[in-house]
Amino acid sequence: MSTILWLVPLIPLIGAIINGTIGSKLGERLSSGIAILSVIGAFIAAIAVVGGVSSSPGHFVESNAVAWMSVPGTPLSIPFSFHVDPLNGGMLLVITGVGALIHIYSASYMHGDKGYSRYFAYLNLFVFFMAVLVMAGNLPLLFVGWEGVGLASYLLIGFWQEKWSATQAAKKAFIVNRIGDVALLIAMFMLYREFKTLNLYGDSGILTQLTASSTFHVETGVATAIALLLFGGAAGKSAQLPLFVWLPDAMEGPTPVSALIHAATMVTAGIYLVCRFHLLFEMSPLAMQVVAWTGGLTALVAACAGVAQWDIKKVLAYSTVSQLGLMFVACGCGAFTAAMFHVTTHAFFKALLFLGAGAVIHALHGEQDMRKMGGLASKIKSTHLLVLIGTIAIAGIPPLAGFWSKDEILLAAFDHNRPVYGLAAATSALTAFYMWRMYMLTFQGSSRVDEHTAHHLHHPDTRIVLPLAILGILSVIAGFMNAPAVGLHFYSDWLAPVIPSPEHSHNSGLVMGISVVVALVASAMSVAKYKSFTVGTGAKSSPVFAFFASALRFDDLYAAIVVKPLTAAAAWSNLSVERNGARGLLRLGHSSVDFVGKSVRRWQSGIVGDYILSMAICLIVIVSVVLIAGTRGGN
Amino acid sequence: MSIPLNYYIVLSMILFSLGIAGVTTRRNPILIFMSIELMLNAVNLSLIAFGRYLGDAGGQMLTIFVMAVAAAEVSVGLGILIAIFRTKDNVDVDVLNGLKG
Amino acid sequence: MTLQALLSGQGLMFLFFAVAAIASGLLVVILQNPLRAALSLVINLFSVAGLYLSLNAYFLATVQVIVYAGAIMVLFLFVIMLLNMGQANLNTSYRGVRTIIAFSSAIGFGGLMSAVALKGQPDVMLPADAMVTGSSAGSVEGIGKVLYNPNLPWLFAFEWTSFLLLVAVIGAVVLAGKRQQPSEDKA
Repeated sequence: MSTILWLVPLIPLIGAIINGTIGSKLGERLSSGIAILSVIGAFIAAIAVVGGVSSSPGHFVESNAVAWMSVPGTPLSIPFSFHVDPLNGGMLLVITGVGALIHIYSASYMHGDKGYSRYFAYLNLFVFFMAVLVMAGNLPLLFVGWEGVGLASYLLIGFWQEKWSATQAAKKAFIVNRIGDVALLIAMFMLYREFKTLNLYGDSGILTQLTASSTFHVETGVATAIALLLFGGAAGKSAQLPLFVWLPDAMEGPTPVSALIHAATMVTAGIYLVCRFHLLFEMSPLAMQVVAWTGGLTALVAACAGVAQWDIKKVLAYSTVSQLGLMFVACGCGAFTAAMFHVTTHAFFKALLFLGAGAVIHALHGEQDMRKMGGLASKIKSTHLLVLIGTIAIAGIPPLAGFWSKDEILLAAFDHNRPVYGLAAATSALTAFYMWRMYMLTFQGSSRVDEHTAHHLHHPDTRIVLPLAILGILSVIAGFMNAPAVGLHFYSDWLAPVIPSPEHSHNSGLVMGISVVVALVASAMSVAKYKSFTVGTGAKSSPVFAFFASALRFDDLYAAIVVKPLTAAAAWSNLSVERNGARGLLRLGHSSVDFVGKSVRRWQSGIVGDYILSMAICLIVIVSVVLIAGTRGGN
Repeated sequence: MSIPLNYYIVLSMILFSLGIAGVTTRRNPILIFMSIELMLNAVNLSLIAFGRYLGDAGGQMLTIFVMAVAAAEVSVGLGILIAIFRTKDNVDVDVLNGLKG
Repeated sequence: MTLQALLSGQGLMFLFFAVAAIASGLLVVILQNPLRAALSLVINLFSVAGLYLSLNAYFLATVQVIVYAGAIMVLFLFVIMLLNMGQANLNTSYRGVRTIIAFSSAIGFGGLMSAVALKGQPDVMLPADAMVTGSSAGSVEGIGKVLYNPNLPWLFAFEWTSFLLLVAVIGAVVLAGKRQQPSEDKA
């Protein structure tokens, strides 16, 4: 079993190496075939691993292969170790499963791109790093995966390197993520100071020590600091306030990448991290409050921005930020099961929506502006049906997946933190509104597609429809994994060894009722407003609309408080330090070397006799020195 | 009455220094070769003198090898000299400064 | 210093050959004409052979005359004639400051090394002839017994020396014997 554990990351890595080295020689069929098969192989291995988890007595599978690094004389010893328990086992299935579907989709979507094999190399690399991240048995290895997915994300956002905006977006994502990574690193240092180890599991692992809190005690202040730093890292990766600005820009990458990395998997790494350390977070009420409020505010801000977007992918991007915010609300309210459940269902329906949007964009030859869509329902029927399912699911209309998972979050917030519940409920309403807006603008109403494109629509092939169909089915049924209202709680039972099941709440009926009403009303309003949309009526840009469209001007804020001072400082240092200071020093350095070199160069005349002469003179000097030193020593 | 060892050593040093002077001042490669032979002879002399002093045959043995190597060196060196002369029409070592950096 | 050591028969022999060696060595270094310098070197080699004799190295003295003064010097003279260097077709004049530096450093080197040698035990005498017996004797028999004794380290090196000479012969033939192809002429 522990050998199979290694196969999960290894197979995609092999795929990445093959595609990254000789991929361009293989042709599209072979290149995508290798990539798809490697991820399917990883998925099968993951199924086997999860089967092993459920059948093992301790509910985990682990493997300590080789020592990686250790510092003699200190307790620091870090092995290459993987550990899978129900929490990350579930994530592993989502990553490899949804990953495999998106690989299949990409095989058709990326057809004809000149970086075809490079694309699949990056995508496989991403799956590899993501598997390392969630399976890691210690924090340094987790950090390797953490940085690795950041790298893969950077490479894929900037995949179309010739596009200036894509490279800018890639850099932005990378740099903004760095801020969170620093927080995560500091959290690792502090954890080492407190626990004298960086291993998560095992007899002396951090999580084991936290469980046995009777023998081990962390001061609340320290716990708060570590928890907040961990959350800082999570906020960077999962695009929370104030670090969410990179995710909307990340839509510059190919659409399947947005579906896989920036909706279904990588951005949920932050949620995973917080859930992994839920014992630590529970020690600190302050940290829980911060997490809940950050999540709630992010959710609301992003939802407001989502309402005002015209780009179909930007709508989905802000929607992702908003849903991630909801997940953090769940974490902050102690409902870690609900957060992980929403991670799973969100992975299904958001991947579905992104891939559906990709199919639409593909059909329209790259058009992303919803003002130039409309009336597509009858033209690309299968895509329309599946996007409709996704929309209903995310809008929170029962009995689809989104309803059940979101309801859990809202219930937890209602019970533990009423103001945040208000934020989350408002977010839910806005989510339903803007998702129906997106649906109506794209598929209903009169067609605003230009004549030429309308006559040459790309009809999606099987490789595009099949993943969409599977994700659609999952979006419908996944909610029933954890629907306490109808007596189903597989998912909380599954997670029970890691995260205790939530106690039953008597507010369940009330919250569910509110959710249903809010979702239906918001959806109805949206449908009514955008039923007969024309560019003329909707395009008037009020100041509020513009404010929302720019995501509350966060980019401008950062430009003013971070980028401008930095640019000014750089300009100053360029002038004073670089040009006058450093360059002068450099000139001094090189001219003195030049001078010495020019004078010594005459020595090397190329005449052998001179060299022998030099040798003889040196011999004289050496012998004289030895002679004099010998005389002194003799006396 | 026999001769002190030091006499041989000093003589050997004088011959060796003459060789150094020849190698460093001469411009004709043949003369440089000859100066090298002079130095080799000086070394051989001191080897034999030391061997005699110590009652050890090693000094004479080494001298035999030095002679053999010198013979090989002269034959190859003069071959090179002829080859250079053929291509360059000039064997002045001050002109042959291909080692110049 | 025991200068009176030079007044014995052996001492006079040493004095004669030493002066001849130094004088002819100086001529090798300073003579302008390569041919004359080569002939001075022959004298020098003969003198050194005489010194070998004074050290009881009879076999080596013979080899010195046959191989050095004979074979090698013939090779030198042959090349000098082949390249037509007998006359001053080369500018063999000395090189100004370089020459002064060269000679002074040569004198310095010789003086210094002699000082090192004399610094130790200035009056060490060579053993008398009567005491030189057995393997250290310079006779053909003595040399052969040492050189070809498989229990001593010289035999193996000696065999390899023959290989070295073979390589040198082939190398010399390749270097000097190869005619330049007309097509390889530089344009």
